Amino acid sequence: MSARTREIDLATGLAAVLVLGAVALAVIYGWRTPPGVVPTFRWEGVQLAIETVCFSMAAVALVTRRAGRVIAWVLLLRGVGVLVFLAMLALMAWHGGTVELGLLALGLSASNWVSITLAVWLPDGRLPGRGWRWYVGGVAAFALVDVFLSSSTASTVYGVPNPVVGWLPLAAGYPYVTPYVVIAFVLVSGLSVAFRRMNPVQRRQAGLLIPMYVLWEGECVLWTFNVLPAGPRFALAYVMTVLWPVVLVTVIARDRVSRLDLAARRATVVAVLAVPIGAAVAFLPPEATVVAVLATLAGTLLVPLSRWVGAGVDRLIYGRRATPYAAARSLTGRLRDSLAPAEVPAVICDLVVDTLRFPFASMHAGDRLLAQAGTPAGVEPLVFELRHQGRLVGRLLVEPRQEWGGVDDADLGILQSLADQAALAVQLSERAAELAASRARIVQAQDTARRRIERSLHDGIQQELVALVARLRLVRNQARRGMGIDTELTGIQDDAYRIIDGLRELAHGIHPPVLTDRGLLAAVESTARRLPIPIAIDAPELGRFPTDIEESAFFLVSEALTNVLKHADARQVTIRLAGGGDRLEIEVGDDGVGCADGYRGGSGLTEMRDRVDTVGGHLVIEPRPGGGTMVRAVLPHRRRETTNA
Amino acid sequence: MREPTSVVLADDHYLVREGTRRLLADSGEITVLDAVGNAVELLHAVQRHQPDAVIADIRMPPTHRTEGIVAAHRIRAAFPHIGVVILSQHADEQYVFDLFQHGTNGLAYLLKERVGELDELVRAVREVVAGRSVVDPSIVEVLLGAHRRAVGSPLRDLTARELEVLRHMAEGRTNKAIAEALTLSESTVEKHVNATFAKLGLTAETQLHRRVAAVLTYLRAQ
Repeated sequence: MSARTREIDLATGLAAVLVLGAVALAVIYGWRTPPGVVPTFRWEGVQLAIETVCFSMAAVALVTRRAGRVIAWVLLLRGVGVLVFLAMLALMAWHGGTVELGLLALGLSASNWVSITLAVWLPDGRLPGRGWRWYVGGVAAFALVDVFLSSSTASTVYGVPNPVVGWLPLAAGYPYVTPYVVIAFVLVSGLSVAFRRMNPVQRRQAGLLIPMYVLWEGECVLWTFNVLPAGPRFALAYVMTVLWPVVLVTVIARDRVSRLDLAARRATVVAVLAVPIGAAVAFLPPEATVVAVLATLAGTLLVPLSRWVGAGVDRLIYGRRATPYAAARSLTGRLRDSLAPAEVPAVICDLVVDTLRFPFASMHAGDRLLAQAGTPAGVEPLVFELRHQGRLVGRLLVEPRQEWGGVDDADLGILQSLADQAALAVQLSERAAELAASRARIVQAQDTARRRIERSLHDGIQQELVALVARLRLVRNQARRGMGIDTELTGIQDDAYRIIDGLRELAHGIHPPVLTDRGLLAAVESTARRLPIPIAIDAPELGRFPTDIEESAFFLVSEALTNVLKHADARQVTIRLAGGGDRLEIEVGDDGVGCADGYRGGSGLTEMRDRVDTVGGHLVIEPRPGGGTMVRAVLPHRRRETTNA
Repeated sequence: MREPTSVVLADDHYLVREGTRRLLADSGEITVLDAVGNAVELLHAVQRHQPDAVIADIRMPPTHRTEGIVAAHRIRAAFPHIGVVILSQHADEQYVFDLFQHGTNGLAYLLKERVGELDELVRAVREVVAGRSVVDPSIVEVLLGAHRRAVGSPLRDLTARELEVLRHMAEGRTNKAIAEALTLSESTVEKHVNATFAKLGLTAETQLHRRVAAVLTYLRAQ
């Protein structure tokens, strides 16, 4: 658990306690006003309690944001101060006492400090400059002095008799208003300098927040110096109490809506739990309130506490097993050591057995066992799917352990994330195996082709040349005998022509020269002209492509045409070639008998696939709507060599 | 006996070059002024000798691709009166289209083995010298075949005789030569020529040297 999460939990817990206390005090001041407290303070107490509820919930919303962290704690401090003040005032009214008054003064100082300094933390919780620390510290000191001095001079505190009146004689001449004027002057001039240095985003936020602060602060000042009549003063106070935290949260958290949702959810949960409990507590004797607050505090902190304690206990008892962090660290280490994807399944199985202490783990791709580790106990295994881009590429089987409390949620989480890690590696190694097989097939096909060429050279052309030599010898004999040799020589010339034709065909089969010399379209056209079936070619402005692309494309078209002639029983073939951008699209469609959808078989088709794979393209063979077959391929290439040759 | 036609010969293969030279000299109708081994030497020799015609191999050093065709275009551009016969081992019409891309006049495309039929070679040299064109019969055969297979091709409406006439026209023969080859009268051939053009929807080319281009353009379109 990170320090950040701990901080958020802590702030939420504190806010919950504050809300609870505030609700209780609101009820106390609203309906069971402590004896002796001035009647008008009744609604001020309620207002302060409501303010604490609003501030606490705002703090919960803000603490999850980096920019709102400090402000959240400042708001919480204000809540603590206000609550302490209200609670102590109530206790003094019931029991009297100097300790209560001391605490009351401390609480009041804290809440005053917040109301005077809050503006300098806006908008992102950072002080505008290092010098502002002096301001913040100075205000803290002033707030203490101010409150204690005024407490020791007044004969009553909000109607409650003051037990320490007259303890500090020098406080009699204390000028109450002057320090506030000084502070207000420092604040206004300092902030206007700081505002000019802000970036546009900060400025926009501060431009909204600071006027709100001035309104709220003004309301506090009016309250302190009793300027307005009671009616308008309360109206303003109640509106500001609710409006100010809402604006604060909205402005600061505006940039990240999802976080706000999360925070709003937390705040709502806190309010829903705390309000009824707090209201109930208010009707109990004051001592019971303390117990109730402590109980709620414990309840609120129970979940995060149990998590921390659990993690600590895990570490103590299981040693290096189990924590997801340890497993993840171990995995990254091993992945770094063995980069080959084929080794990843074994590394993961070892990890499951060695680090997570499961008895047996195995990984499979389809029916194939990729790796295993440990000793199988014959227990029904847990199954985790390996998915890559949504496609099932394999499974990780893990036999659950019986000792150490079996399998918990953390185990399931880490096992699934290991399976996710493995999915990519398995996919990669499967692909590598496919490529190796395809390469082997290509080499084999080349060997076969070479053997065929050798055969046609030796068994065909060489034999014919031998026959030609024999025929020439015969003619020589005839010439020696003075016989006519003209007919015989014509025959020999015809034989020679036939040999030349045969050679040309053979050379063309090895590599059509027109492909190199005139490009893909010319080669496809001249092939099409020689086939006994009408072929329409649609290839507007097809330029030249890199050699390997043209050769693969030509091979593909020739192979597709051969298939059409052999199997399709078609009457018409359409070839479309389009070379826009960085890819060459090839379509060969016929109106023949068609093929089954997703048909993959046949050595010719395998060769086509291999050929397309070699240049990183992809091939689809599918039935054409309305009958026939469509061979479709896309070959990527880096550049066009020339627009036309 | 006519005045012998003067030619420059270019072929990188020594035996072929010398064999062809001897054959041509032997015919008595052609004088070989020079025989060279690549396209650069060919252009120099043409400039020096100003022959009536050039006979060039399609593949020559350095790249062994279509140097012969490139040289033919340069010769025709620089010396429009010099005819060029390309001898090629490729029985592929794409090379013919390449050769004829700027016009057919004074150009011929023959398969190499035609040196064995000396009459054909000599005829081709004469035709290009006269500014006409010649296409090897095997290539015309491919073009005609592809067209005849196409559904709805007008070639299907031609009579056997008209098809023969079309074939000879594509090969670059004059009406007179067609008449001789088919043992017909020249006027009959002319009638067949007109009928063929009409059935193919082409305007009859009276200019003979533009006829090959028209027919090939027609046959090239699928």
